[in-house]
Amino acid sequence: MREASLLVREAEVGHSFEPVYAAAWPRVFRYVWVLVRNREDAEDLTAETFRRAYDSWSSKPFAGPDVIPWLLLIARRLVINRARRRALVAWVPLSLASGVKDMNDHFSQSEVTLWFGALAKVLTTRQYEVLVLRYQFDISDGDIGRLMNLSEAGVRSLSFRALEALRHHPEVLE
Amino acid sequence: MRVEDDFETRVGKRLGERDHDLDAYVPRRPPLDRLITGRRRTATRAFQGAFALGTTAVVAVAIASLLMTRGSGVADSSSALPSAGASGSAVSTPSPENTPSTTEIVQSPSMPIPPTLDPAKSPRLATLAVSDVNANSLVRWVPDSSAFALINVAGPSVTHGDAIFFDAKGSQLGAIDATDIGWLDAHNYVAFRPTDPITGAGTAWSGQIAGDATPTIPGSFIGILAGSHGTVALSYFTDGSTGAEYALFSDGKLGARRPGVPMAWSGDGAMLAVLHVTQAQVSVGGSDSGWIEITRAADGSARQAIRSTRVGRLDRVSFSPDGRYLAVGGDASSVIEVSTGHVDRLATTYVRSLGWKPDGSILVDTNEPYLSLWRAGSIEQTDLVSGWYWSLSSAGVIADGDGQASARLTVYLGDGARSLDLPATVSSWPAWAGDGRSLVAICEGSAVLIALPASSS
Repeated sequence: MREASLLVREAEVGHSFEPVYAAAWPRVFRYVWVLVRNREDAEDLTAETFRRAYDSWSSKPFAGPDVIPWLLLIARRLVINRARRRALVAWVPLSLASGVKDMNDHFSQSEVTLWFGALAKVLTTRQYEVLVLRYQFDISDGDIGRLMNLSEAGVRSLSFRALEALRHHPEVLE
Repeated sequence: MRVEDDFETRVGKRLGERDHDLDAYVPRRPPLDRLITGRRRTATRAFQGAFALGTTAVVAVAIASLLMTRGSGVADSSSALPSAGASGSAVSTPSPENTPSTTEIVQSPSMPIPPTLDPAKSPRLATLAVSDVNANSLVRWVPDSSAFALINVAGPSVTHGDAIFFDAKGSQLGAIDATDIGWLDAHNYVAFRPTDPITGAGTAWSGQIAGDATPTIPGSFIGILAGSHGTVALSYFTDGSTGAEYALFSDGKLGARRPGVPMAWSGDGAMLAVLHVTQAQVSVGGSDSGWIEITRAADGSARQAIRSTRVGRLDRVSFSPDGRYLAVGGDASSVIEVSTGHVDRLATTYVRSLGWKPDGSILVDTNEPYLSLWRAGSIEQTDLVSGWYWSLSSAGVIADGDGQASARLTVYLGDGARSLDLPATVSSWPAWAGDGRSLVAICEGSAVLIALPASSS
């Protein structure tokens, strides 16, 4: 994770988008996948994230200290947008439902997919996300706050509650 | 600095290991030039150029550009339609015309950006007494807008149930154990709750807001969609090998079952649009082929329309207020004239939202940074507002206030624009009441009832 951040920072020096794209693609994909847990959707959303980032970068290169939270913010908004659409398709048949149509896909049945599914099951959506951002992606509380529209204290509080919830389900960490 | 205890360290270590595991599944990124030179971008640039120069010639170039991209466009709504009657049901109407008309695209001068109004006249907000609201929560308004159900939530005073009833002012009326509600009228509902966590199949029953529920309806269902005149469609699940069916109810009685998934009722409850799926492929970028069928509730006759290789993406379906047209949004975005089956293409990019206006035209939100207006076979680009997300209705338009999925919404009504600051980022499409006077927004962690100004209708 640290290595990816360093690569991205080095890429920013040249104000070229392509090195950022190359270095950050895996991390953004992993973040999106953790949120949607569907490989096809994650790939689409990751591509759209970089498309939008490129549009913005073309008019004004990113000038902040770390480009990753900026990219994750774009990705998160796209994920929310996707969720809004999905909320209206409650009667989509089983064969079309997200996560069901690729039942035969090796990835969907892999241990890592099942593990994240189990984690999401014992936490609320926001608890799940804050743990992922804080411990998997090592994002600072300030950046998580900007991502999730929370204060830093709110991030810590949410993270505390998530850990407490997880303590009741030690089997998830096995 | 974070001070971690042993448990926290263990969580961090486990998530780190899993992140490493995920690396093996990260797909190869597409070349950057291919990523940024898609159809969406081409069309956008063309229209932006047209706006900047404002000349007829450039507009013509932009139109030509879009028409060319449309030619390579969405699904195959122009394909030959499958034969009707797969279920053995009556099919009394002829097949529709399969070729979409050539819609002309012009820049609209008719929808200028409305003025920003006095904040004192802004909509009023009321946060509802619910505590567990998330992006999967749903809002189901009753047909006369006098009440609504908030679904997939819990409330501090609720001892059971996932569905909470509120009146139009936000006062809680009751709660039931249900994961979806279909309204038959202002008081009577059909409710659904899954019982099998693997398949999602479950039970359905009917009841009243202030009254007892009737015994469970026989069968095993996967979803519901109620009409407005005592008609209700229920997705009927048989088993994994035979797929889903739905049962058509009329006045509460079980009717003939047809294969397919109900998607939308016409306003008078006389017609039902049904999605049929013929193939579900499993592959990256795979498709689910099928078609839309329009069924008349009175006699069960059906008309087929819109064949697509991406029916799994058809998730915006609605009849015009007068029932003359059916608009289909998603990847195969078209308007169908019900009486003739004539198909008119709406857009080549994904249609995220559709909203009928009282005059029979449609507001169309696509992946483009502008809103389109369909009217009598032509598409006009409008410059009403820029933004990513929309919620459209005949009463107005909602966009993210800053175009960035923030907690600020901008509401455009007939007389101007108003900004709304909500408690948190909106995580689900705001749901308009049928009368256009109220809407409910699902935010992260809360639900907000928004009453629009009386002068705005």
